[in-house]
Amino acid sequence: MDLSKPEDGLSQSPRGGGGAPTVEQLQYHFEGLRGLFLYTLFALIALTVTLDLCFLRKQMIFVRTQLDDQRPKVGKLVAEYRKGTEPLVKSFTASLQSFTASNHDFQVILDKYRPILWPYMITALSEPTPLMPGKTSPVPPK
Amino acid sequence: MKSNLFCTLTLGLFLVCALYTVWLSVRYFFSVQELQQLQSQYVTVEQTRNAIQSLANEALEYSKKNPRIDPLLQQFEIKPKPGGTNAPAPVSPKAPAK
Repeated sequence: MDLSKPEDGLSQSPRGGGGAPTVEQLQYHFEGLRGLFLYTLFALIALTVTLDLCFLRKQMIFVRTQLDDQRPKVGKLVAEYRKGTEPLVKSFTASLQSFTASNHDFQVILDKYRPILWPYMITALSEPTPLMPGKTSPVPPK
Repeated sequence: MKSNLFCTLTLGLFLVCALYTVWLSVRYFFSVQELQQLQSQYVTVEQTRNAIQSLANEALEYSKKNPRIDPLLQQFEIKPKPGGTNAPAPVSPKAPAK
């Protein structure tokens, strides 16, 4: 198959002339279109392979390396936090809240930390739901 | 006939490339999502730790004006007990003494 031949005159038939197109004319145009289609396919393959190898694969390796590195560290940190710090934070904030009930001037200080510590401050209403991904500092419920 | 086969093979190659790109993109998307979740968890833990430490500091400062908070601070070992021989405690709540 000669890919370079057909597109040098798609609008001109090889034999010229008007009237109904002949089988040779149609064949000629068909070959031209097939050539163009193949060129487009080659271009798309080249584009896809370039995108895969030069961008996606590199990014993928980078992200996987970070994940493999951070997953155990963060997992350990969160486990330690849940086991040691979280119960303490809960009881400390609960104690401060009960203290605030009789000493209202402390309310100002407590309110400053409400945006971050709100999951531990509404124990009477519902169980805290800390460490929810994407909810690092939500607006405290009023 | 030969040209048709070539066309089909090229089309098949393109299909394989496209599928590989989609697979790689999906894996990349979920990996990034997992990484973001991990980072979010880390930030939450650090934020809570810093906040509770600051709150303990402020409560300690507040105890100078209002000593009624002292038992609470002593319970969490933020403030040393009056008769205790302990050195001044680090300013972060500890497990309450039972």
